[in-house]
Amino acid sequence: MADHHDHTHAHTHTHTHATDPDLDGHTLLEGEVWEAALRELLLEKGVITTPELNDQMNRTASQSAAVGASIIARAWKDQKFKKALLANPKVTIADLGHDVSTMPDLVIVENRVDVHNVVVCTLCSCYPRYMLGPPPEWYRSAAYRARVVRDPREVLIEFGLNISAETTIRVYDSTADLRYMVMPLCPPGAEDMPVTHLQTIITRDSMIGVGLPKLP
Amino acid sequence: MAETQEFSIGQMVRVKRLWPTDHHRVPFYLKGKIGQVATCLGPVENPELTAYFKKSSDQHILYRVRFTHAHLWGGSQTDEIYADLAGKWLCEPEG
Repeated sequence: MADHHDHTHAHTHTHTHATDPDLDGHTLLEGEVWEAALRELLLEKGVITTPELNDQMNRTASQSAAVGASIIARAWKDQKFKKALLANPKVTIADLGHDVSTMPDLVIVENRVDVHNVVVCTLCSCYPRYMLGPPPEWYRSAAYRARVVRDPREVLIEFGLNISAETTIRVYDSTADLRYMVMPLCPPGAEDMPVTHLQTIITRDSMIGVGLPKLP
Repeated sequence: MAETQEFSIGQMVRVKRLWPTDHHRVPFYLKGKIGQVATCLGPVENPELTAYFKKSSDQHILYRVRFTHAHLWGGSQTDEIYADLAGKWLCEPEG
């Protein structure tokens, strides 16, 4: 970085960062330069339009693990819905009024007392964004991807999860175009809570498999 | 032409020990390893072609294959790893 940033930042370039008002006083990272260059080229050449870009950014920003949590909470309360969700996730989620047209195929794996599921993508970082929002940094890290297949118990302990030796840990490596997420077990004592309350205890990590739902 | 299903559920299979430098969806840690077909997920687009924007009527049959932690790493007898692998990457365990 030092070799091409040894000039002060008070240089005299005249173009404005109209779309990047937050950049004042901030030195661009290399990735940010690439992103801006690519974005501006795609817009200039008409490959994408500004409204399309804004729509996608809005869609991305509105994705969060709250979507997944509300769907899992509903499944905990409604056995018929749960059965349909596990058998045919995308159709069942669409039936709730979600627009899943751009969502990749999804598999929901259910935890059992004797099987604890964990999701990883060792080849890249495939993640069920529609259900869980953007992935956490650690999910994309080489350390998580390499270690969770090799030493899942130790990795889960580092996340604060001590899985009993009698319970099978089943790691799903999303090597193809299917996205995986975990349906955690409803914690004992929570069965009678209303869906609106249940969805607040279903954490993102519990749907990746590195956590459990948290009772208050 | 779609590949037809060549492996049945429950069958033991070996992941081919091939090392192409082109895009492929087989993690190195599974190459040469023996697993058991858990599910046939049916035909999918061949990512080894679509990654290069190549169109092909050729489809992969995708299988979910179960590997034991003990076999892969010599560790836990109870833990397991599932991966989704194309039929063209699988062969008889002796192969």
